[in-house]
Amino acid sequence: MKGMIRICNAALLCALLASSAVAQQSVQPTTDRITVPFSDPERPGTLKVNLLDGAVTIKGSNRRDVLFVANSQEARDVLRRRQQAEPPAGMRRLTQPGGFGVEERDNEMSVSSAFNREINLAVEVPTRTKLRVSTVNGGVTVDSVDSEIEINTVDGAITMTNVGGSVVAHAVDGNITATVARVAPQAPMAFTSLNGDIDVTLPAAVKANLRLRSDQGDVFTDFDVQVIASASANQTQRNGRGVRIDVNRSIYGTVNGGGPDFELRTFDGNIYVRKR
Amino acid sequence: MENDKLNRLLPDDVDPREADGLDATWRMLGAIDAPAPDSDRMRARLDTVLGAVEHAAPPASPRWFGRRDVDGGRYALQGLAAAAVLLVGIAIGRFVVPDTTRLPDSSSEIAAMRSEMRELREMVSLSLMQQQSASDRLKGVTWTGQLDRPSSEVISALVDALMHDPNVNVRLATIDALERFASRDDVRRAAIQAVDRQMSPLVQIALIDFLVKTNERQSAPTLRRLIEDPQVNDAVRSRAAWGLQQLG
Repeated sequence: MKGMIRICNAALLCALLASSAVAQQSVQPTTDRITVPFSDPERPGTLKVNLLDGAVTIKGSNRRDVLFVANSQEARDVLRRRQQAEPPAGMRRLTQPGGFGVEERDNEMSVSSAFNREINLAVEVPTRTKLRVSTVNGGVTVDSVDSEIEINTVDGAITMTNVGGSVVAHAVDGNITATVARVAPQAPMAFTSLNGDIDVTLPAAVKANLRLRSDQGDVFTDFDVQVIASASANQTQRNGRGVRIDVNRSIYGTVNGGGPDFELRTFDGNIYVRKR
Repeated sequence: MENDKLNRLLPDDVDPREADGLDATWRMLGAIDAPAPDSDRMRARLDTVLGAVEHAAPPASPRWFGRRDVDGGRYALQGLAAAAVLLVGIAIGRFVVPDTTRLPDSSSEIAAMRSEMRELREMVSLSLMQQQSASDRLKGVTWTGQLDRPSSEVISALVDALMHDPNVNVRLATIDALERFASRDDVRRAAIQAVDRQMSPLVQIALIDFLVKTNERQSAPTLRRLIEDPQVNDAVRSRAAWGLQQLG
């Protein structure tokens, strides 16, 4: 209860900003900056982000709390729904705050945006923070985070650089590009998309069972993949209700002797599995 | 005013500030939101469990002899009977296995250990599937593939994940895991239901493939509905059309 922080609107953020303005002279007028501590910084915390309109950039760094920098104007310029009105003579445009809320409870921090408000979020987290991010219109970028990373987007791309741990990512219409530098042992991963390309770079020594599938695209790799026959392809029809039709197009293969399952699947894109 | 009344009632050695602190804590405890149960999911889980129970054989009667609410004398009698049986058992054991140096029956022990291992693996898979982390849930789903003869509890957990797991990749993995159990009616019924309810086109396509693969002709009306629904993703609609044609 002590560690619970509830900050409900940007107005409050602004008040906080004003109070710390003396200390933070570099604050730009169009951005909201706020740092929020985890209730137990000794344990890895969880960051949950749910955004409708706007992009999220998350960077791991050697810090104990979480820094949010929100830029609503930038997001509005990118995702403009309506024609921008010209300022009448002698008037200037004022920036409207994007509006977002942060809630911390039991080492779990949740961020969400106000309805119909575009907002670009840049977040800096402790390196071991677990991530659960989902956006609708807007991409997600993650850099240098070592933990469990779970990302879902509808119209945005997912880009990950220098990440470690395990990744479970899905983009309906965006590309997924990931460089996984360190792999958690025995942790399965999944990278899937409907219409996007999947481009994953893994450590050369990674031990994994790959399940690769592109319905309308191609699969490329420079790994030495030992292809194994799919477990289900050899099964005969059990029900005795007519002929079995095999529609399984997945490639099952092991690298470096095999390990946890890594699923890479796209319907209409290509798959690239690269050796780092 | 309320405070004064309270102060008068308090014993002298109690600090009124302490009482105020307790009062504040009490109020804050009251203000904590009770976690709202995810009733849809719970309902669905309950239904699947009830379904499984209904299909199972009727449970054996718990009453061995006599009524349960017997008097103490009956209990004493039962205790004596149990002790007698135990003694007879020990005696028989002594006679039947006179050679104490002989090894214990290793094959039955190994069988017992195997079944214990299987139960343990099942338990681990089931508990992983309830975790917060999507990677853990994926692990739970893929581990069910290593279970020899999983119980129906495992199958209903997989069906539950297919219907309700918030993560697309976990739902996709359950379809692969459920393929082993495609001969079960409830699994195929669940797949038909899921293809209708799914929000994710990729999962819908995987489910259509599953239905075609298992030759599930009862899915035809559902596939037809998908084809005619303009809200449904184009790739899903054309896959459904292909599926319908395959099922003939």
